[in-house]
Amino acid sequence: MNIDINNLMPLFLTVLKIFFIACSLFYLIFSLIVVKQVTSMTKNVKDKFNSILISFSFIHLAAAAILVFMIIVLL
Amino acid sequence: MNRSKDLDTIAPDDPIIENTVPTNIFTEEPKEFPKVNHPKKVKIFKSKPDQEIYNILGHTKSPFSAFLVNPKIFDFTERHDKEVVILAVRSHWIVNLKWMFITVFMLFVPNIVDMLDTLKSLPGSYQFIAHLFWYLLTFIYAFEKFLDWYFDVYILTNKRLVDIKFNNLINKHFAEAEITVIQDVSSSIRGIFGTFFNFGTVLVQTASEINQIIFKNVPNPEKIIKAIQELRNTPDCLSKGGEE
Repeated sequence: MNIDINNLMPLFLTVLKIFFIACSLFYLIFSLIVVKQVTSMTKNVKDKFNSILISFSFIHLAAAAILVFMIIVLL
Repeated sequence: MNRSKDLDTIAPDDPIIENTVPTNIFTEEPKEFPKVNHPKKVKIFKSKPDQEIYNILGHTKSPFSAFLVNPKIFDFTERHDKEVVILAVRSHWIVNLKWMFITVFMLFVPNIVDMLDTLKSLPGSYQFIAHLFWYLLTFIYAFEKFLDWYFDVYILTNKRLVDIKFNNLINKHFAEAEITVIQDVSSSIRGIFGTFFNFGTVLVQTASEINQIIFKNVPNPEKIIKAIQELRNTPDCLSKGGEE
């Protein structure tokens, strides 16, 4: 039985796209948890640098959301 | 006893001066008042524990410092209303080197993959997304490690020792011991790095339920021991610490 690799490529890309979407969605949820945790940490231990850390966590969340959007649009 | 008759111009405690010649304050030139050598005001510093610890550890204003002596902004949720943070200690910065090297390596992984032509069979958009994903993972790895170090603090207040630790961003560990129940304090410096950079572990044995608090990888363990001893030996700190 001959398997044509060229026919399998679109299927592979579709599977890869689904994989990317699933991963990025999980990553988005994870980045939400990071935001929550950083906020919680900064409430527990207050220091000079806390506002910057919170900003970083929100930037990371935004990047994760952009990643999901880009996967849906580009792939 | 002679008493001054000019009661409007003198105070009761002023020395009595017999002045028989009447003076006109509007016509006479103002005389210079004799200079009185007042004793200079001397500030009397009380022997405060935070001042002593300041002397032992020195100070820095950097928020990334391993030692924050008498920090103005630093605070924690479990602090009592009138409890004062005297010292906050983090692990030595050298412990961050490992994850920093890993992060740098992770940053170069996409380049290595590109050189090996591993993803060449995939379309460009897939490669771009894979790279983006990887860089985000690299960032969050470094960020988590940094947070792990930054929020893992040992705090000395005027009442107690506090150990706050966050494990994997999810679990919080909090341990405390009153200064009055501290029994023994010991330290150990191990390995080449520990000896070279002078960091190690300080073990505080207490008589409370949590029978020991361990300060891991803290710089200058001997100075921390001195600071703890200073707190233990300050009766003012122990008796009035939380009530001032």
